[in-house]
Amino acid sequence: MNSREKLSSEKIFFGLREVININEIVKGTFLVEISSSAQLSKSEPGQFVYIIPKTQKRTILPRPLCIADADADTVKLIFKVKGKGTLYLSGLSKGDKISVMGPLGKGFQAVKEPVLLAGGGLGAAPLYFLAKKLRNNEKTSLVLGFKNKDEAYFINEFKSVLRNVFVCTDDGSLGSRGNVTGKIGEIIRDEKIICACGPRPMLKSLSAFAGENKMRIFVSLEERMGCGMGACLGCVVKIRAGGKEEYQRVCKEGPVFDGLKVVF
Amino acid sequence: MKKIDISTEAGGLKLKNPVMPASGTWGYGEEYAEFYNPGELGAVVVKGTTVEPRHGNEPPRIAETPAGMLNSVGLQNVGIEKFISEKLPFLKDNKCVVIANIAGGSIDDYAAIAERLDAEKDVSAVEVNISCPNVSKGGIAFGVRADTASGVIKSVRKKYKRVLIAKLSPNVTDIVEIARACIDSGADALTLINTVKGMSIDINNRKPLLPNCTGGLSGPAIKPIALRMVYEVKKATGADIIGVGGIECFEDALEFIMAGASAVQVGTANFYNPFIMPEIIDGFGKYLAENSISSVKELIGVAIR
Repeated sequence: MNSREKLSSEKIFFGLREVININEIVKGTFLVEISSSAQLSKSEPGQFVYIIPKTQKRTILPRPLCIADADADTVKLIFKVKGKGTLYLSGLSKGDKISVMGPLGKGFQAVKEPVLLAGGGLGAAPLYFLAKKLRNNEKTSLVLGFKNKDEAYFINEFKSVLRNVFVCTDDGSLGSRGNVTGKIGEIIRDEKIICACGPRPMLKSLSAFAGENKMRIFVSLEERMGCGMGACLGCVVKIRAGGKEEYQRVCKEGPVFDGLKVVF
Repeated sequence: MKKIDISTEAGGLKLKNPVMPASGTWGYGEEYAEFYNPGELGAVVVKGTTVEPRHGNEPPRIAETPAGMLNSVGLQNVGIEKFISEKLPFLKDNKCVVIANIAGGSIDDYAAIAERLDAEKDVSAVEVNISCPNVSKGGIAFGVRADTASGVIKSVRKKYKRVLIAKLSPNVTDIVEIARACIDSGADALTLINTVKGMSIDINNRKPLLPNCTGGLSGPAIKPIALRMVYEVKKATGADIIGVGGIECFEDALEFIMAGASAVQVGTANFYNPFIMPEIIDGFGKYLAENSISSVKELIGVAIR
């Protein structure tokens, strides 16, 4: 046996975890529950884990998946099948072992009520974890946006942890017709913070809205990723810092960034 | 039991084991220190450093390909002064053998960094990057011709007195010719190979996936190419070589040693196994013990015929 039997660090788990449950919650979108670890149980909303798929398709890179919930027993991950890696993950079964590294990145920090949560599509997932950590009271409101009712998921779960849940869809097939930014504009009261995760155009318009209304906004971004540890500089996004624009790492300084500083 | 010696030497640079990260895949050593002490490695090769800080290329910078990946980072780095003041102390504190990878847009740039690093005794060697495929000026432009490669190496040699390693590009007609030019111009050792220029197209958008169009291919896909080049250059020149390209397990590393490398670098594999380098180091110790070989040096180039 190798002397490095124990591979994880104090903060980051690296090794095999067991699939406890996997479900296709809506067509093409899966919720996978894996066994937790000391490190994973300390995950924060907005952080992600790296899953290293053992596909037969000669893939090598890990896949970053957002954490939808984590405790001492399990970690919930939500993903949409987009390519070879996620296709492999969708084929996992209960009892399978998968290679996991995490938690990684910097999540939503310094979030205090009153706060508005805004999730678009798959982007709703990390907000569930965040919503659970916030108090269930009148001061937190959530807007979920989906293309249509067939793509909507987790609404009941959100309603079980938050009182003010608003749903909108592009075609009006569920909730009100319209987009997330529009809905946020309708329901806003005295909130000073928005936490958002979703497609780039949504985060861009929400950040503009936050700027106009002198609010703070935290947005969760994604980019094609290499190492996940901040070493390879593969997953950068352009951020305004100290009067200049610079590339910062989604896996290290992010994935959650100050939306007012993101160059969309 | 015989004493096992996994130490090695490349261009006069003494290494306690033959394993180090490939430049650009392991940042400045601090990123992976979360997992283990970087001082355990034979050396730490840091991110390519230029005179001034660089922003690098527009994202996306990464595209996965069969058994490999393309990158087009474009030498984003903090610049030489910040490297020395903010990054080097950490490596020194962890007793790392530091190899600074240096790059520039002109011969003067290379000379300026070489001179600056000559004054930093904690930098044991420079790895002269004349092979980056992702920048518009310099980089690979110097490394694809023997005369320009020679010009860069000579200018660095004049300013830098310790170990000088030239990192060569595989995107050339005759790697042996470039290798010879670098050795003749004063390089103590060669790193073979940098990434292989390649591309990927996004069929949905009908455009190259990387905004820079092309990128550098790394990972297991390039291992046979890298191995062949190490073999050819070792056979033709006898120069000390650090082998790199697609190593993802101890056996891969051993192939490079047997092809003529004195040490190896691991790049892309760090991304999917952050413990790969210590695993390879352990692999060398185990292999030597099991095969009753006293030193890893005995294996360098044994496959050459």
